[in-house]
Amino acid sequence: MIEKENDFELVEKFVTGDETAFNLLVRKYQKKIYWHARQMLGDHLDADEVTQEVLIVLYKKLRTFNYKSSLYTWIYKIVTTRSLNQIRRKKFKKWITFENYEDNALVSHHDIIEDLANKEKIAHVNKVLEKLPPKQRQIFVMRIFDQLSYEEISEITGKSVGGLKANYFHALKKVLEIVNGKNG
Amino acid sequence: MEKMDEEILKYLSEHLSDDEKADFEKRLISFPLLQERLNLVKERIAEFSTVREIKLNETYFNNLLPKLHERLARNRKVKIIREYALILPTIIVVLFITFYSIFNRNGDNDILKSLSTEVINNIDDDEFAENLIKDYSIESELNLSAANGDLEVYIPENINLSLNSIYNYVDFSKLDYSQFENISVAESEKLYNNLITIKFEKVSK
Repeated sequence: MIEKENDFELVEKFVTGDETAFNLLVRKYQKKIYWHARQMLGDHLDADEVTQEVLIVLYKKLRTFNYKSSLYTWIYKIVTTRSLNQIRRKKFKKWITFENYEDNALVSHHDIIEDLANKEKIAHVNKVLEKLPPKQRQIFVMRIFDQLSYEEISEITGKSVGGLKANYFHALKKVLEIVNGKNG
Repeated sequence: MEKMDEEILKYLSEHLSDDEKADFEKRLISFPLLQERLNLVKERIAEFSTVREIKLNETYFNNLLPKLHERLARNRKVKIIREYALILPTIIVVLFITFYSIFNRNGDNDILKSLSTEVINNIDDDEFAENLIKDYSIESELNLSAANGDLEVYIPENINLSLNSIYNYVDFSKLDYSQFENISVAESEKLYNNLITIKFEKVSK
């Protein structure tokens, strides 16, 4: 609750012309935004693009924020929508160019994870996540990585809690199958 | 095992009804194998959640804000350029229309001058008089000045011709009034009658 109030104060300050309030908000949320985009999209370049897009939207639209939800939920809505759009764009691009993104050398060269063991760890996670359909990936990332409740996810995605539970169940089932070596 | 896993996953995803959940938790106590399997599944899923503990290069995040402000400034410039890109063609179109209409007005004035001269020199030419009447549509383009009292003298008395109409045909700066005097009453009437069928109304005095 304290965090929510602080966010509202910062938004208020920004709306009245204090640019440093925006910088504080960026510093507070940039990693969460990046991580969500990264796990939705699988590589740094796409995650970077979405992160920058989201921050620009935040800067331009913060004046329209209505204080009805938490800022965190509002930001999440933007990140998750942009990430799904990016997945669609990539899929379409892949379809028209016959490009194989898995073999794209750029992915491994541009990264902000330097440690080799960590790189392998995240590559393993990405390999599992990319086998999930986008909606299942979305709920999996939000539940497991972002640690959001069903109610929060429902507010962000506009889906019913029941539907989200079903989606999450199927995501868990598929992940477990992959981990157990039955799929992929 | 598959059925057991499915039930475990339903439990973990809160996909069980209250009764099913109570029953499952009861069985967890009485069946150690189920508890063991639940722990294993939880462990496998938990492996994923540790990913966010991976250290990311802080330089990227330190540079993100300056990069963002740079991009915002660039966006503002692009926005200004776009606005000017719209204004510039608008100005060009307005200027073009203005110059075109001025040029055309001059053109009309030139035609009028030439017509006026011809009126003076060829007023007894029937064919020309007809052409003149056809070209009279340019009347609306002219800025008529106040009637020139001197001219009235040269208009035959029995012709009720509006002075303003005469101004449309005659370049008064070059007018040789003596030519008007040479117009016979019959010619003037003929011209008047031709004109009246197109534009003029008889003025009652």
